[in-house]
Amino acid sequence: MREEPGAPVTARARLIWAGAVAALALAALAAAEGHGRGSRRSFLPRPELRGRPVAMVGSAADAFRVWRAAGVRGRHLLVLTGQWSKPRSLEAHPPAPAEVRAARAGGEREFLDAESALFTAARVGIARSLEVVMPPSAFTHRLGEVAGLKELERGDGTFRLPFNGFERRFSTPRAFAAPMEPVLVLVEPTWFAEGAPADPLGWLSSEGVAFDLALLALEDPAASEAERRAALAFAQGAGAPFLEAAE
Amino acid sequence: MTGAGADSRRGRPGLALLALTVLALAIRSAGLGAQPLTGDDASVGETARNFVELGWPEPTMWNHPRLRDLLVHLSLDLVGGAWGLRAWSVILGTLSVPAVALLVRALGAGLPASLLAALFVAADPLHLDFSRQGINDVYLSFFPTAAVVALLRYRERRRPGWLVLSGLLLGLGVASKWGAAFPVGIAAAAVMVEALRAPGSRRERAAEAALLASCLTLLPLAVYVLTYWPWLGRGHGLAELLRFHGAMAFETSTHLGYPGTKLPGFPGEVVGAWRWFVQPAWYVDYIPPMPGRDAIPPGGLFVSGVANPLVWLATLPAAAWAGQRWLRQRDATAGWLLLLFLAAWVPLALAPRPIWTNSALAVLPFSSALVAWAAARLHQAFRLPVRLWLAAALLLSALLWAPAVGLSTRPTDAVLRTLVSPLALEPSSHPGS
Repeated sequence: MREEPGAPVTARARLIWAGAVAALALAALAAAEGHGRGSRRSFLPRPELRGRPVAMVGSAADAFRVWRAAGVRGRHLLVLTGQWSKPRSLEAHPPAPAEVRAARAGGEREFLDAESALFTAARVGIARSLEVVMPPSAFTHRLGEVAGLKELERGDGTFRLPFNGFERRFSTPRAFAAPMEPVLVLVEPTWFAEGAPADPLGWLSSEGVAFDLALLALEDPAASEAERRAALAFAQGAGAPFLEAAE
Repeated sequence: MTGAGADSRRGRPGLALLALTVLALAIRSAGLGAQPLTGDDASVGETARNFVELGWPEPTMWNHPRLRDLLVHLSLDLVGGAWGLRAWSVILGTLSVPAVALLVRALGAGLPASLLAALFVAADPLHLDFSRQGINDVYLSFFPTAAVVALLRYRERRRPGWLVLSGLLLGLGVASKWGAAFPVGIAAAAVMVEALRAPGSRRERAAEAALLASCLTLLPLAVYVLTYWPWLGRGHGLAELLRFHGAMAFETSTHLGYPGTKLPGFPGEVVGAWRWFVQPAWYVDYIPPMPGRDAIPPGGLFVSGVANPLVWLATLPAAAWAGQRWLRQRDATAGWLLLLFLAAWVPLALAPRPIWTNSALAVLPFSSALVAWAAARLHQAFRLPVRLWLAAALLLSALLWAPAVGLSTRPTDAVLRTLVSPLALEPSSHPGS
C-alpha cells in the first residue's frame, strides 16, 4: 500500500500547481458571484399597467401572488407601512376551511395571508432583503417590541434586525436611506398616518428610490377605516389599476 | 509493538482495518430504517428541501454551514425515508474509523495504536448514536481527520495531489461546521513552518508557501462558497454572503439553543466542553409517543449516546503523558497527537457560551487517537492491566449499544442510569421533541 517516491517535484512544478489551484478557486468564486447576481429577476412591464409601474392590490398576500406570478426573484423589498405582522401560529389559529380552499385553488404549498406574506416572500426567494419604513409612532412601537433581542442594532431613527440572517432594516421616513438598486415597493394603508409623507411615491422619487413595481395595498391587518380610505384615494389619484391576484 | 518492522511481522494490517470498518458499518446501519425519527431527523429533511430548492436554511441550524443540506437532499431523492436522512452520517461515521487509524499510523504510533484508535471510534456509543442521525455532527469526525491524514501524506511524500485532497476535505469539513478548521489549521501551520525552515533556495520555499496557501486557503474557501450555491441563487452576491456570515458568527458565538428546544439551566444536559473528559458525557434525544407509530412505546423513546467512559475519561491522563513525552523526550508522535487533540478541544472548552455534547464528535477521533497511543505504549510494560481495561471498555460499549440505537434492555438501563443524569431521561427535559 505504500506509495513509492517518484522524481522530486520541482519548485516550478509547485508554482504551476499553486497557480492552477488558485485559478480554479478564483473561477469558482467568480461563478458564485455571477450566479447570485444573475438570479435576480425584475418585474417585466404588463400592458394593463399602461406604462406605469404602479398598481393596486387587495393586501400583502395579493402582492405576493403578483410577484410570484411575475417570476420576480432575489429583490430588495421596500415596504411602507405602519404595522408589523408575524405569520400566525397555525397550531393555535388553524386556517378556516375557506382559507384552505383559497390556498389550494392558488396552488400554494403553504397557507398565505396578509400576515405571513412578507415572511413567505423572503422564504421563497422573492425578497433577499427587507427595508421597512414606518411613520414615527409605529416605528417607536415596533422598536419597543424588539428592544430586548440580541440581534437588534440601533441607529438614529433606524434599526437593523436580521431574522436568522435574513436582512431586515427598519427606519422612519426622516432616517430612510435609499437602496442602491431598484426595489419592489409595497405600500400598506397604515402608512397613511401622521408623520408619514402623504404622497409615498412622490416621496420615494424625491429620495432617489428606483423601483420596477410599486403595489398599493388597500388592506392590512391593522388598518383603520380612515387609513383604508386614504390608501384607496391615493391609489385612485395615482391612476393605479387594480391587479387581480393570480389564483 | 511500534514501527514498521513490528507492523510487517503482524501480517495483514489492511485486513484488520477493513474488518473494523465493516464492523463499524454493520453497527451503524443495522436496523437503521426501523429506528424512529427524532425531531432533528425530520427537521434535517425539511431543511434540506428548503435550502436546496429555495436557498432558505431553515428550520435546522441556519447559523451553521450547509453541506448537510446538499447531501441529504441528494440521498432523499435517491433512497428517501430514514436512510435518505441518515445515509451520510452512516457513511461518514463509518469512514471516520479508517481515517483515525490512518492518522495514528501516519504519525508513527504503530499498528496496534492505530487499530485501537479505530476500534475506540467504531465502538463508541456516542459516535454510534450520531452516526445514525440525520444531523451532521459526525461529519466532523471524518473530514478534519481525513484532511490531516492527506496533509501528513503530503508532508511525507511532497506530492501536490495530497495537498489538493487535503484542501478539498478541509473545505467539506468547514462546510459541515466551522470547527473543522481548528485541527487542520494547527496541522497546516506545523507543516508550513517545517516547509519554510527546510533547507533549499528561496524560490523553493516561496513555491512551497504558495502551494500550501492555494491548497489550504483558496481551495477550501471555494469549496465552502460553492456549498452556498442555492442561497446565492436567491440573488445574493459574495459581499452579502460575507454579511450573512457575520450574522451566523454572531448567533454561533451567543447561541443558547434554538427557540423552544431548551429549558432554562439546561437540566439533564452536559453543557460546557470544559467538562468533557472530566465527567461522563452523553447526548439524549427523546421521541414522544405518536398515535399509530408502533415503534414508539407508550412512554416515548429515548435515544442515548454515552461516550465510552473508560476511554473518554482516560483522555486527559493520556494527554498529560503525551505532553511529558513530547517535552522531555522529543517524542514527535506524542506531540502531534497532543496538538491535534488540543486544537480540536480547547477552542470549544474556552467558548463562553454553552457547548453541547454533539460537538464532541469533532474531538472524539483525536481523543481516541491519544488514548490508543497511550494504551499501546502502556501495553508494552503492563500487558494484563491494559488488556483487562480494554475488555472492560468493550463490554461497556456493548452495554451502551442498546440505548444508543433506541433499543433498551434492563441491564443496559442500569448502566445508563448510572452514567446519565436522571433529568436527561425525563420527557419534560426535552421540550422541543
